[in-house]
Amino acid sequence: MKIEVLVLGLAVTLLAGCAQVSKVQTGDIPIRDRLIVTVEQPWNRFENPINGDRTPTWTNDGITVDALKFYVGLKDGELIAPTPTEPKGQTPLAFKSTMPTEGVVELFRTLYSRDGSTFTLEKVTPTRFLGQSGFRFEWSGVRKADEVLLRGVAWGAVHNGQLYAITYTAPRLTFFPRGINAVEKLVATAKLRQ
Amino acid sequence: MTVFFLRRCNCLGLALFLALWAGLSSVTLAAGTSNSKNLAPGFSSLPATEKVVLLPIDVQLYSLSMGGVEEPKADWTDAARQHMASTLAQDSVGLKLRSQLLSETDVDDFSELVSLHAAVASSISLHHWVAGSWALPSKAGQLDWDFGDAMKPLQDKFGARYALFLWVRDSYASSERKAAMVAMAFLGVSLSGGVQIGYASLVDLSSGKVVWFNRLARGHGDLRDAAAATATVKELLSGFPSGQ
Amino acid sequence: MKRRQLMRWGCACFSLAASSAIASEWKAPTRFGRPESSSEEGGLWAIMDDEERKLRRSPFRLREDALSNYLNGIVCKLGGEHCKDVRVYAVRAPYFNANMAPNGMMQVWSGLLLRVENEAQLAAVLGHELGHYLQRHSLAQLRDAKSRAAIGQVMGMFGAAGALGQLAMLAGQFSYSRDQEREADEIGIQLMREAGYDPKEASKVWANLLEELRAIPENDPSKNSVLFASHPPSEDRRKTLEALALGSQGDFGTRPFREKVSPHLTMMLEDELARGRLSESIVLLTRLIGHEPSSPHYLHFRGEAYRLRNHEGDGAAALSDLTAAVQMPKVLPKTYRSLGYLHRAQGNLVPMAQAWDKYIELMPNANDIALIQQYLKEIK
Repeated sequence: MKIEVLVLGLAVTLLAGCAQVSKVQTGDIPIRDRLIVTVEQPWNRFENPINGDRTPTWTNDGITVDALKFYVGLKDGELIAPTPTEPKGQTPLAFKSTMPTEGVVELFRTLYSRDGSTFTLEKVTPTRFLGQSGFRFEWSGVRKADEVLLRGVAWGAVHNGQLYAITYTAPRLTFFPRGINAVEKLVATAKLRQ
Repeated sequence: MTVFFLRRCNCLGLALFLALWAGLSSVTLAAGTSNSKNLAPGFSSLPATEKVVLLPIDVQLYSLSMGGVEEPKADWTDAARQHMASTLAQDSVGLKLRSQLLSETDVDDFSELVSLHAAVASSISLHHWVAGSWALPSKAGQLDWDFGDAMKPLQDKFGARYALFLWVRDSYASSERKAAMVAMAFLGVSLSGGVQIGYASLVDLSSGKVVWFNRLARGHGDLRDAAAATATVKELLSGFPSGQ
Repeated sequence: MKRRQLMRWGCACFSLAASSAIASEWKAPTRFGRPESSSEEGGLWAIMDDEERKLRRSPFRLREDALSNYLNGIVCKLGGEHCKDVRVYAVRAPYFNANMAPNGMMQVWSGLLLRVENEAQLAAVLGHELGHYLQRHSLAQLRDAKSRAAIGQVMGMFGAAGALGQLAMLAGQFSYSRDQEREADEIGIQLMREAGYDPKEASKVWANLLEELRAIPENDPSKNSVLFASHPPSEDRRKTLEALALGSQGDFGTRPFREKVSPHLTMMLEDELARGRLSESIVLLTRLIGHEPSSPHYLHFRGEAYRLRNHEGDGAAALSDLTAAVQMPKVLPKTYRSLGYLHRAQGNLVPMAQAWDKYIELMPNANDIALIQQYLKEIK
């Protein structure tokens, strides 16, 4: 019980610096230095890690609704997301340079479903991404915590042994179909900074 | 429920929780005012002839023990739900609505919509009401969320143009908890003993827009008795944009 | 209180020396009536009714009538007239769990359906839960929980634990007493016997779970494992159940069990692998293969688990399993896909192409055909 009391206190003092949402300007936007996307419509960017996850995340309608995430230059052995401490014994989701497409898809499958959420892979296809050969996959599922039915899409490519991916997840009703067009356009503009 | 936060964001879940709960002693919503923060752009009032369906109230009462650990209280919750429902049914809050109070069975086929609404309402609570450093710049300070066509099945089934969703979480401090609050004061945390948070959300089922959204966050109020439950419902619905 | 966190299939280690709480002539009580809503018991029923309503609507509920009717049917065999008061819900959750609430709501999770081997083992679990219900244990358990601090929403909001961690923590809050567990075990065995099931299958359930837990190097079986959503299975428990069943015989009900559960097998096995704990999955699948050596499902998914885990030696193990799977009469088409991926990873391009040609032939509209075809193009 004491732990909650301390956490509560700590959290309040951290609250001011804990999180911020900032505006994503239109135009060419660099992400983590190496990725550039061209933004045409207003997005909102979370400034601080979410659940310890430092992956840059943007949203249209909020933290509990939709999320656009950018995985930029993950090296061999790097995790796509932090490993939860509870329950113990979770497999760390590490990217390997030698991973084929289906391996990366499996990484994301486990990321999305290890909390008990469901995940159904709808489609996986080769595609051009970042000006090179890459892949795209689509999925659907139910979020465990609040039972919201979701759809998701991801583009990815391995360049010089590093993983680059952009993922978009939103509720299947209204929000995914509404958001996907702008996301497709944005992804089409994505390129690597030389 | 706000439990989804633990899935998406530890830090943000904390922030939301605290934003909603902390400093409540200083927060009192002015009763009976209709201000632009509550209204979607372009919406000012609900025509009296329009029908509103009232979704079953999502209310949960807790007893807050030492250390802030909550224990859900079903008997209290049941009582609160009944009080609130009868308040709405008798139109004691003076909404003057053409309304239909939906039963749980009525909404059995709409669980996806109800879950979706709850998720969106949480984002509205955080990004529009708590706002501050949490505001979404793209919303430009407006109540600008909509469900598109997704709400039409609800409209079709009940012949109503609007739906009102009410959500309340309410907790009462035990005496040990009150003692802990003194200790917490040294950390600069002001925690209210009894905390009541909630929202009322009016959705235009035809356009899918959230046209009116009111948030409740206060350190007093007791849903366990009928009179107080009525007062809470009134507070939730203060500034409800009924046209006359 | 979250419905999925009401632990029932739990255990506290207890001594065999303790005398039996139940005489061998235990008789089931008559059907329970609904309590007054103003009473404390009535209040508890109200919680359960709320949870049941949510469960009925939940996207995680498995709605197939054949499965629900099958589970309800087992409860009727075991519980006699009480079955009119019991409603069984199958839930999609890849953990070993079943629980029953005082209002007659019973849940069985898909992780449990995956792990029991026949109807008798399933009946052992359901009979145990009925034992708690018939002795009104759950009432006593919930009452105690109300007076202790319940770790609930607040912990969740702080994110101190995932939903699964909450499960494990709540297990400590909502456990039955040793006496209650013993009573439920004894009643469960008696109900099994009276319904014609072989009660020796009950201890096998525990033996299997213990084996699965032991295979996890970093997991001390004496600690809580979220896999079992409550107290860990124990050797004492297994021995007690074995002793209770001595001298009895009865049906296993393997065929009806397989018939009713197999439509859900692919989903359950995919969920199992998606837990991201492949070493545990391999142990489970090894046992299941031992039980049913010609099941294409078990061979496919253990092969997949090896392929995905990719430790030293796993490639060969995966190849062995997937190759065996394709020999089976009812081979899953996607086994050919997996073989293709495996061969590609190992640089065996000819077998890779053969496997994928077969996959495309069987599943021309599969959701990954474009990817496979791209890979095939690369070698031309």
